[in-house]
Amino acid sequence: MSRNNPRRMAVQRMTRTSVMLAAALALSLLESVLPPLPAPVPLRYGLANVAVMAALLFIGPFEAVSVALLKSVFVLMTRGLIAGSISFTGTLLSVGVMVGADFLLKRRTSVFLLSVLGAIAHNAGQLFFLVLFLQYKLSVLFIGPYLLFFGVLTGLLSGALLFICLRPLEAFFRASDRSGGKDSGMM
Amino acid sequence: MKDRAETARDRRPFFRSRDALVLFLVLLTALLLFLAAGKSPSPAGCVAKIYFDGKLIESVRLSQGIERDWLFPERPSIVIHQYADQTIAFVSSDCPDHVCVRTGRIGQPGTFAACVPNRFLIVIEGETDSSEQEDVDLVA
Repeated sequence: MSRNNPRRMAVQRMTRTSVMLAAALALSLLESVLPPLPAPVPLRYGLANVAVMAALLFIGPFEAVSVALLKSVFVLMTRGLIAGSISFTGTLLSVGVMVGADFLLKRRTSVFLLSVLGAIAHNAGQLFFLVLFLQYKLSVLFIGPYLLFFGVLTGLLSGALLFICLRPLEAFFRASDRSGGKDSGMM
Repeated sequence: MKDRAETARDRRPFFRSRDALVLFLVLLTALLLFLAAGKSPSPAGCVAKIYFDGKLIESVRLSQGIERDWLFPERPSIVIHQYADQTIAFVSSDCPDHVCVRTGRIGQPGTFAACVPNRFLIVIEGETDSSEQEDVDLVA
């Protein structure tokens, strides 16, 4: 089977997306055992965003959105409707902003910018859900600075993690591409 | 021709010089919001407002030296503890991830802790300016 066979390419994309989804879920679980951020408002590290960004950079925007949405479905199944909805809102806004920024800047967005924009959008999405849908009486004026500041910090953290992983990920995707070529009979 | 995976590293530096402008604007916005929030008169004390399902069910004045547990019939599994150092925290909950308990003690105006699965929320407000802020800043 040719390396550019559409069926083989589709299976390869699906497999890569599944690997990124597994990574997102593993990072999400890891995050749940880490100590909370020293912030005056409850915020998370957003480590799963590393896998979503990796999917965006290495596979494509549709796959990045798929990883993000399926991660929220997992939260919905394991932690309930409200936690799932909060995750869904934050994730959708985050991945939307990252895909939009990457498109507008013609795929030349830096890892830092992508990560920080995603983190801030994620925080904002979750806040909007709390305020608009759950009717939480929160002051945006008080919480806004913390969301922006910690969005930069957590974005810096996840961006640095992704940047460290870029070469191993590239090697992984190249290797899977080569092995896919050899084992094309199975695909 | 290089594919998406091969170009990811080539085209993606960690930081570009133009990012500094974005970073500056974000931090400037954060600083301006922080200063705007700080313009409110300094509160003499703080009140922890406890909401269940969007409705205020208790206002706890955070007084120095007073320490007690707060339990609510709406969710008996939730235990909120008021500390002597004018802070308050969720100390027990039956929610799956315990984000509320892990948030720890809060006591500064504007800070909050939430147990989303149980629909409980604690918001700290300055005692003197709470009604004024509700008119200006609160979005819900």
